[in-house]
Amino acid sequence: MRITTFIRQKGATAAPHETLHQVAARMRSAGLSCLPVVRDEGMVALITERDLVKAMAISVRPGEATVADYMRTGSISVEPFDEASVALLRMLAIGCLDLPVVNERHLIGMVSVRELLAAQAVVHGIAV
Amino acid sequence: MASRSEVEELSREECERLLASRSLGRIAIVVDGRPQIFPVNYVLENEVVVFRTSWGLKLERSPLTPVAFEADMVDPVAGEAWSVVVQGTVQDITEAIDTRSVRLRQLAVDPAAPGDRPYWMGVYIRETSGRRFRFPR
Repeated sequence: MRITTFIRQKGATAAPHETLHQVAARMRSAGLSCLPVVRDEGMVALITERDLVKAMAISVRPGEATVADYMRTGSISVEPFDEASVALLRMLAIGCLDLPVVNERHLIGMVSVRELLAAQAVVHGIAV
Repeated sequence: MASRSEVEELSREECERLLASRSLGRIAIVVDGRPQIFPVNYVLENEVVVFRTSWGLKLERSPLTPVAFEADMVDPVAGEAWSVVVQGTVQDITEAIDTRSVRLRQLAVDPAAPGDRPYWMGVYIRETSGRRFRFPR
């Protein structure tokens, strides 16, 4: 099962220079557990709810700390034709409930663990 | 130990020991620019204050915001009182799948107030301060 069907249009994003408080407010109102960090139209990193909480706890000046100081890179997205299981395992590794979908570096949208798990349950005949 | 009429500033370690010894505290959050305080039953685990809540302001307004949390005790027999205040940030860990949140949801956090409290919240501590003093019995 590929994730193409489950992609929600891209919504909230963060920029590296934004403060943690700015991004926290946007993440809350978007109802997401992470935001893709975008620069020059391309996704360059990810910042999760957990990253924000941890950063606010340890930062010397949390009001001035920026996304760039705490964003993460690496395996932080999937591509449209990846299998749902790839996205789920990546979410588990990162510890977030949503994941960006990119085509090369271009952000297409997000997938959520809830929708992917519900679809997996249907495929495997599990009542939810 | 504080002598009579002295206020003793507590170390972080002592604050955490005292916090861990209690299960009822108060969380202060800012709602629409106004501070509000709510009593909650909690468990302290590795610098996280964990409590449960129902649908309402604590769930809707506190995640990813700075909050204060306070616990205290007055012992009229010993003539001693203490108060510990922490500053931190709240995470709604109800559905979180990071390993720490999953572990925190295993804690025995038992709200005394009636009603379902299905939502799990963690206050990740940034700063801790505490005071203890003695008073005439």
